[in-house]
Amino acid sequence: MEKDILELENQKVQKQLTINYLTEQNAQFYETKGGFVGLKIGNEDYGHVNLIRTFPFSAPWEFISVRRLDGKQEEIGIIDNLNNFDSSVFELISKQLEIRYFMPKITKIISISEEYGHAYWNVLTDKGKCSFATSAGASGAVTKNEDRVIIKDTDENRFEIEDVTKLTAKELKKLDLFL
Amino acid sequence: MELNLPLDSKKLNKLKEVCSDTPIYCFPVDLTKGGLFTTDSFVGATKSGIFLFENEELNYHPFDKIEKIINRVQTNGTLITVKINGEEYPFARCSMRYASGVASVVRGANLLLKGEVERRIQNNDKEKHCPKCGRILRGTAVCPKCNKTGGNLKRFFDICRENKLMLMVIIFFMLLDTAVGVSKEYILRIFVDNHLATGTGTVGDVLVFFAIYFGVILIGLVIYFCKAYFSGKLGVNVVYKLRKKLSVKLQELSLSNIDSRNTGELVERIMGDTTRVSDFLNRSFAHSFNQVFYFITLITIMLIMNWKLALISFSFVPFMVIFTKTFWPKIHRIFSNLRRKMDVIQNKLQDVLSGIRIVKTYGKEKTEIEQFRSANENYAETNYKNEKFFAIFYPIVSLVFSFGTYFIIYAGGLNVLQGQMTPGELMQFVAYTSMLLGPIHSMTFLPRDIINMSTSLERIYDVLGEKPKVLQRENAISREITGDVQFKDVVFGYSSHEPVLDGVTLDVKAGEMIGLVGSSGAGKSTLINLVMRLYDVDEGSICIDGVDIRDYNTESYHSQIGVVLQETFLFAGSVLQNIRFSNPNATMSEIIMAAKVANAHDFICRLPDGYNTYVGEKGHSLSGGEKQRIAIARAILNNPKILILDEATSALDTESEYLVQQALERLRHNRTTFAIAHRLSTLRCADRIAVVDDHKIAEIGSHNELLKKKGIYYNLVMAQLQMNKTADKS
Repeated sequence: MEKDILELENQKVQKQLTINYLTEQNAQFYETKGGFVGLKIGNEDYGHVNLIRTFPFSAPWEFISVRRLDGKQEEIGIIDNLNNFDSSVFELISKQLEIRYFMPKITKIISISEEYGHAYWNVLTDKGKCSFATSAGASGAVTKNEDRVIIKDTDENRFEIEDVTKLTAKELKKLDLFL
Repeated sequence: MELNLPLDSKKLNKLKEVCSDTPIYCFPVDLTKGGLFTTDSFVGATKSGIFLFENEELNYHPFDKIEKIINRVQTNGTLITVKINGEEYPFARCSMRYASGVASVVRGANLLLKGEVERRIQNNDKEKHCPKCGRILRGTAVCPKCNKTGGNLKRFFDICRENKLMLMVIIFFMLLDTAVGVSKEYILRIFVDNHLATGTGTVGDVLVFFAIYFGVILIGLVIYFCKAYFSGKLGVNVVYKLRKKLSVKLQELSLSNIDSRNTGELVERIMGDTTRVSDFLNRSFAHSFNQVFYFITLITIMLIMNWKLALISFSFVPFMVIFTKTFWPKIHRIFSNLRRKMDVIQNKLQDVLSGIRIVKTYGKEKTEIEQFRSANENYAETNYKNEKFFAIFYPIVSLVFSFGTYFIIYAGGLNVLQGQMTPGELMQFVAYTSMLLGPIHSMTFLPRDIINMSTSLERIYDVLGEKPKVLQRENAISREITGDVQFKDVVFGYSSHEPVLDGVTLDVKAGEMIGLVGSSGAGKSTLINLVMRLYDVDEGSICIDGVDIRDYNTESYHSQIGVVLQETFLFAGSVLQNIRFSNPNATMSEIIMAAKVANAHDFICRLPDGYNTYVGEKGHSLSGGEKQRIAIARAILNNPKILILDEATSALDTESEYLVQQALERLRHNRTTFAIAHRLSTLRCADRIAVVDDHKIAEIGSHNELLKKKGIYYNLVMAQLQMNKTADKS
């Protein structure tokens, strides 16, 4: 029994020290009946799996950690670049990632008004019209990285302006206060 | 948070058509299954199934076809799925705005699914948005807009009301100042008209005028001094009271309130914003409001003297008002922006100073300098832009205002030539027109100062308006506890849609020692945070001696708990003050006894000033183990009924650990002890060991019982044994 446990621990350590890259050759992603991403490796069927972006901002399509859905959400492997997969797999996985990392893209700033320490945004996004509030006092509600702006509202939702240079002068003026 | 919001009659009828039940839970969702924003959509449960209204479209699943309803928390939202025949299907989606309520609805629906129709789930989270207008509720139940009592100027007037007497004194001196200021020009007019213009004046007349004028100036100075003195005093009083309120509030607020803000931001609110309010009172208020009195007095006198000339000089006022109004929003924006950038610098500095050891160890000084330089440059650049704006703005304001004087000299000169006005009167009028510029000019500064002050007041009241999340009930009990601790179906999460503890039930007898083991993040520390009542449970209850922990007076309860945490914090002060922190009335011998028990006495004796050695940030540096032993002494000094040890001996060397363990073993008699330890040998004296895994207590029992069980604990023990063996071999 003791020997088994030691063996198990060794396996764990070994697993910890290696990255199991999932490629089109060794992994088979499929759509479950419910429309989620399932994974088969060889004869083992992991069923519905969890997909985590390890670099959600800097490399959203690279190094995607594929994990078991429940329990300790143990990592099965990592997709080093989703672009290397067939377009149908790309579409299937990106659809699930989009649910997990729901971040509407702001296409138009209709208005931003400031009241009682909060900024109230009224915007058009690729997911429809929406309103949200950011804390005007807290730092980090609006962060800019080159031309990309991420806005975090008081409920911890995130919104994205892909390219601020594409905003009109009027919209930029409204946004300017928060940048 | 209300979990059963009413559906409109159309939806309700539609629901009744498919299941003939009314909703038990009903909560809004803001996303369609396809991820588009939607309004008027709801997810909920009746006693026979779950439903989703995407606008008018109803999706209903009867419970008899579902195995489970799952709340899959996503990074930026929530996805509800239903499990049917072992397969998961998406059911509903929402953004983080509704995540907490939806999570509770899912929990409630699962209870209904299991047939527990009587049990209802509650959500203790406060509403974040005003149900009426949707504005953010800042930790309070009252909307700043809808309750009509909001508004920072009202707050400013409240402050004024509290200092009514002082204000009356200041206003009295303001009136005197105005009277003296205006009378100087009148005296000059009489002197010019009666003595100089008539050509009858003598040297004696000049000397008398000189003496009177000088006397008035001296009186003016004394009045100015009194006004400045009392304004200053008012400013100091107000800042003192605001800081006092803020510091009391900070202590009142629960940990979850404090966690939501960063330290730099709080320091800036307590120090910076209160100073700005004080500055407004003793500088802007005393000066600018004085100018308002001047303004009213001057225009009254000017209208009486020559209403036509007066109207000429006033005709420029509307331009100035329009000018100021146009720039008002810009001024507001400039100051908010500058304040925000200052916050960034302060946070950065705080961060670097706290982590200076790490910065130096990794040789990252240059990177840090660069980052600070960039934040500083950003601030400087904004400040430079602002100064440039004001440098252009104010001269233009002055220029626009000077037009009035030029026109008065021209029109008034004509009046003197036509004999409608004396030269003295013209001098007085020109002087008053120029004096009028002062108040109007000052009044253009006033909006900036008011906005600056109200922005600061807003930030101060943002903290003051927050309500502690751990509240003390009315008629809370203060009594000595024996130490029975009972967890009943405890559910808790730092954010309520993601439980860290989910259904924990544990019965601990007074005097029992419970060892808590499990992997990092399993919920061990959370469990003891709840025993310490740093947070309140979301569901279920924790009872101490059979009484709900929430019914105890927090101060009385906390005074009966001793805590030693993994990360020891010592306050800036002496060793004596740090040990005495838990019991300020402890005698010297009790303190030495506590230190001896904690195996700290010997090393304290070796310190240069013994128990009076100054420790803390700038004091004598102690090793991690030494700090921990002081913390242990502090914990046992107040003879706690519940002792909490969170990796308390992890920083000690083997010998010290053994000694402290022995001491703690003796101490734990007659007190309930919760001990978290990764080194399982530390828990050998525990009566029972609880294995926390996957948000629950997975195993509980004595060391031997758990070993026999051959479960998680057995594996942990074996793994540690093997590890030790491997270490011994190498």
